[in-house]
Amino acid sequence: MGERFSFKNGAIALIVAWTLIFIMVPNLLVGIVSFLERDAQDIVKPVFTLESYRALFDPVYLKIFGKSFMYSSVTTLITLALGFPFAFILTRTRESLQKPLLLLVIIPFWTSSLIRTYALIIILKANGIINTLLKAAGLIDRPLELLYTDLAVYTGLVYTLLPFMILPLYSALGKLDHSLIEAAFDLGAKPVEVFFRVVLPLSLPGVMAGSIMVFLPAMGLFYVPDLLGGAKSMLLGNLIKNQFLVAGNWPFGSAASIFLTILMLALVFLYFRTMKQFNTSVMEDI
Amino acid sequence: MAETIVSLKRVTKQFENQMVVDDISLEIHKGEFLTFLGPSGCGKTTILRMISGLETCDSGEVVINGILSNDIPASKRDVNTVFQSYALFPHMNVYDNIAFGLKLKKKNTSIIRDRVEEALDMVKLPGHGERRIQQLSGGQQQRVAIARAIVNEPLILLLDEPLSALDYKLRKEMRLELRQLHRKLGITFVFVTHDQEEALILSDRIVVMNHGKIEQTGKPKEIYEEPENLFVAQFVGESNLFNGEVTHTHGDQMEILVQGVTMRVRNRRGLAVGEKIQILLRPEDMVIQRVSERCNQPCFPGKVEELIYKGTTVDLVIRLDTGKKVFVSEFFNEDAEEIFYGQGEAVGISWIQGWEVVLPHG
Repeated sequence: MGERFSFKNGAIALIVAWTLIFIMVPNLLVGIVSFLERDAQDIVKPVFTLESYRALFDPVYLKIFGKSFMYSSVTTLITLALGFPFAFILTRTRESLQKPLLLLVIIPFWTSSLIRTYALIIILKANGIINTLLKAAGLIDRPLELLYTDLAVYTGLVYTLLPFMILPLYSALGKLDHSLIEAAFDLGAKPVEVFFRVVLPLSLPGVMAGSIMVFLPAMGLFYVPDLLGGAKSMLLGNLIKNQFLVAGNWPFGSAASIFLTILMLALVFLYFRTMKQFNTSVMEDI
Repeated sequence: MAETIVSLKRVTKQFENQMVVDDISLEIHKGEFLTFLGPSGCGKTTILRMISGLETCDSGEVVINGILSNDIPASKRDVNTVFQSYALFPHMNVYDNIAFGLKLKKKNTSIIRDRVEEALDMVKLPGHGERRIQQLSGGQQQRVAIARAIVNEPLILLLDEPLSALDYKLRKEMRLELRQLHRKLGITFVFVTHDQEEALILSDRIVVMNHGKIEQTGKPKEIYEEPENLFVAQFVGESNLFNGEVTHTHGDQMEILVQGVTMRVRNRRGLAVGEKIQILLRPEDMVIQRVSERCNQPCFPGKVEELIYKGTTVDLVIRLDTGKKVFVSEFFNEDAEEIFYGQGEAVGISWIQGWEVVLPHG
């Protein structure tokens, strides 16, 4: 009987308490604030209003959402295009090499991504590593404008989020039975056909998981566009940050934040629904 | 003579410094049922994969239907494979699995439908097209795998241990169906197995392999009754081996001394006096006699150690007086109860002269 109050329950209680205090309560506060009126002195006035949500549909903000969506989508596609071949080759390399190669993917996590973003600035800036090298090689005489461009923002987002794409893809492709690929070749499929008819459909769970894990953070990763895109790149993440830290409009920042959360929930819901369908039609018994 | 459909010329393959296929040359005849038989790791599957194009050879030539095919990819060879694990596409239903090859060839839909249905009939799964792969039993998946290959009307059907995952009863059933299918389709079947019984039952010809080399090629009867060496003899069927020596030769006859008994046998291999030999006897070729009765020569005395009743046969383990263990299999005859020897009973072991296989001592 005493076991019921043992370590296991203690651990669970701790996690529940942690989740309640540091995740549920802050989110609840954000939710409440998003329905309140802005106040210059006390940040918020306890008066109910839907003004913040109405403001979300202001064309200026809709444009930011659209742009964020574009950045996130393109980032997702690029990481997918880069991560898929990488993960596929990784699953086909010798077992003894797979772990070290995976480690190379994970090592960057050991450094704060903020610091890694600063490192990118050093590489990309006017008198940075790339321009210096190109100039030394005599390929250019004026430095290329690399920093504070869309290219820089994409570079930063892709660089930061690529591991989140590779890891789920690696796990999904690792489960792929190689004899299915051979069977497709045997039946007359060209490499492209093998990829689109067999490999891709069977690794869809990994593609979905990876895409969500890249798309959602890309929406909120405010410091990457901030540092690499300069003032030009205002994304959803930056918008939220600015509302809290610069504009002092907490209710609007909260509303935008809630919007992002709902978007995330919708995507996760979509993911689970697809997975459920996938599970009952494909993954079962293999 | 039969037309050649596949010709392997001095083919070799190495995996990590290990010779998997070691200088093999072989002709596969059009329309035959050829089986590669051997223990795991003998190179039989690698040869199959070279024919399918899923594996390349390090040296030598693979000629399919008169065309040097070393550099032709699997997708362009008129050869289809039934994989050991079936390798059915889990994200497609039965119909789409079978239609996979035809769709890639851009056949028109109504032709595809007819051919798939025909293939389903052929493997005795009519009306199963809409089923999901996961809904099928192992035997049914096996049939779909076969249908998916034969629907493309390949020149050669390759089967990589296709029955090994089935239970005994189903395996026996599928063997018969494979034979019928082979007869009906008339195409060349190349089969790989480690199961000697399967090889004997199914094949027109058997290629026995070991360590990447061919030990013997021949009809099932030849392989079983006239094994060329000890490996083939021991791999195909159970056998009793006795060491001996040639004592006299007279033309195509010779006298040999085995277990202290001198006997006269045919000298097929031109063995000389003094040469060490081994004689091989299948358990079912042995005759067991009570010592009380007259024991036909050659007669090895011994005692019954164990008796195993198997329904159609009774298997006995006899310990000869020389200490050697011998396996004897007697067909069970309900009227003749005398087959039930008592444990420890003294008996004599003999065999029908001429049924022994004499091999030079390896």
